[in-house]
Amino acid sequence: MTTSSFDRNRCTRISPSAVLDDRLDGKDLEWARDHLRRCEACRERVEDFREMLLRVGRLPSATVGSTAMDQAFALSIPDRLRTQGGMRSFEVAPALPAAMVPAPHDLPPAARPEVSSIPDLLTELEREIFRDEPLQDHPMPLSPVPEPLYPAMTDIPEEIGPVEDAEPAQAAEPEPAEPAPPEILSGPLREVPVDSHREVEFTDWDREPEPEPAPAPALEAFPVPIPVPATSNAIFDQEPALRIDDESEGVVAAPPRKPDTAMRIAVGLGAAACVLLAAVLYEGGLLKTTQKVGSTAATATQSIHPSATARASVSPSASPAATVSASTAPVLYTLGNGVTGGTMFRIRPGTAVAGYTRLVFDMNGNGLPTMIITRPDDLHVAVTFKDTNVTGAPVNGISSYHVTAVEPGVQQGADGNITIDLARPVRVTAFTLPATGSYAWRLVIDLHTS
Amino acid sequence: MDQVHVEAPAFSARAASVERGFYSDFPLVLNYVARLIDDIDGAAAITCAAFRQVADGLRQRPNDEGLRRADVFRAATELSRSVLRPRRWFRRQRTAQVNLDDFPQPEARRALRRDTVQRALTALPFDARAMILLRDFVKLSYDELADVVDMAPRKLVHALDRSRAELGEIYDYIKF
Repeated sequence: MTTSSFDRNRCTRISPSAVLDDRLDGKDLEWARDHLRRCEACRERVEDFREMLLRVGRLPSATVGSTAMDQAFALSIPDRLRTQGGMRSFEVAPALPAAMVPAPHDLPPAARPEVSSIPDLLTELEREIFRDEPLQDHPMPLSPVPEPLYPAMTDIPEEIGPVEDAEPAQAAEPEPAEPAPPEILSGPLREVPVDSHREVEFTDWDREPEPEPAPAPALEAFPVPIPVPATSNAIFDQEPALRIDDESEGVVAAPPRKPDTAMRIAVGLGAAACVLLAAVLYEGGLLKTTQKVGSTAATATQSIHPSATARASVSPSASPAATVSASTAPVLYTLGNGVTGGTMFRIRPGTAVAGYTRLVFDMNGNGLPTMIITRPDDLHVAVTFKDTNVTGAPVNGISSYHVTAVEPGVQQGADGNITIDLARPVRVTAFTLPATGSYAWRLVIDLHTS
Repeated sequence: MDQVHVEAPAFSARAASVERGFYSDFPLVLNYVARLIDDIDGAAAITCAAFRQVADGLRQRPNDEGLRRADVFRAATELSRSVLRPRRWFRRQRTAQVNLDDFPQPEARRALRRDTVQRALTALPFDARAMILLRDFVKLSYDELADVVDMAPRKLVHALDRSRAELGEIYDYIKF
């Protein structure tokens, strides 16, 4: 009960709420006093909490006038629970200009007597804690006098003359034989949307409330004891959360439904169609590959449909793009011995060293073909194998920190092209290795973090 | 023939109790709801709805029982929560608004808006805000508070600790 653990940086053995709300007794209280006597951090926390508690406790309250209370009573309490004639059996003090709500004289006392003992408890605690060192480390006690409230709240509110003056005149009129019909109450009621995002309404708060344009006719028609039938409560008809009286449903006419319902349905259907379309596109792989197309302008024709690329690459539409990319891209390396008729049959990701990614191209044949390594852009490296077949090399699953993927080989006439999609800009180094033992001729490309 | 003493009907005793409870608690509940939802205009409707809800629930209670303060605050809290619930697609959250005579006064409206503590409270999660307001503003006892927020009194201390610490941090952040 005395511990708290939300603050990791300070001593949290004391729960300030337990101390301030007088939730400790016996040994716990003794222990807390002893700890507070020695622990500066806990003492500060308790003081901070006490200040915050007092700040919240001193928040100004809006006063409610007797007329408003009567109206609210008529709206809230059903007929069967009201006294005869709806008359109040005691006087309610009029709305005071003071900030706090006036306490009626004949009402039960406050339900939390220990609240008043909070300062006493703390004072006693402080007296006990700082008995030895009264002049040092003593937290500044809060002033018992409540701080001045908002000047605007202390001003005398305007008297609502017309309502007060009109009541006797209205009282002289003959009372209606039946309770007021619900339409009377529906006059001062208006429905407004309440948004949970409060920022939207902040502008309204700063604005001076406009004078009520025409609340008077309906409200002033009431006699002093407001005879409102239970069925005339029109507050709760709109929202299920607020609907508490089912009997009132049939009496109070529902407001006209929103005219934009059709528009909302249309928007919803449109949104659903968009989601469906996006799902279809995603499932078909178009979205993913389209993104790739956007980032690889030079090799777009090669990368759209990976499974069909080998076929598509032979088409005339694919050749110019690849040719252009090969011709205009800067050449990084030209390697090999010019041997023709070989086959590049395998690509192996090399070592798993974090600093670079190694790709090893294994080739069958009598030697190394001419290999031109180019970089069309920052995120692609292209390798052209002269007079070499590259279409048989599997490229699935090659990826690393530097490499996003290796695109399937594209055969352009006698030459084969392999494009490496990079995940980030890299520095490229390359060399060749001769066939030795069980190893074939190899081209090794290292992609270093730049 | 002897005169037979006829007692007043039970409902009148209850009516008096309800009336007394209403006039005692209505301003407090109203201010609590205004602070809780940060909207003094919508507070009256929610407060009336809460009282109405509790008054309707008295049918199932013994005859001599009036409005219980904890029930009213619980109803007000739940109604406020439902009003503040984020709106969904195709369904805009709406609530009725009640115009009461001379309420709210412009001064009260401005005070609620300007208050730094109120702004810090608004930044708190709903449950923490309700807990702090019920304990420190309304000054409910721990038992009543436990009844309202439906939490064991033993856990309330820790929950209040967290809420007050969070409020203090927010207040320190925004006070200048």
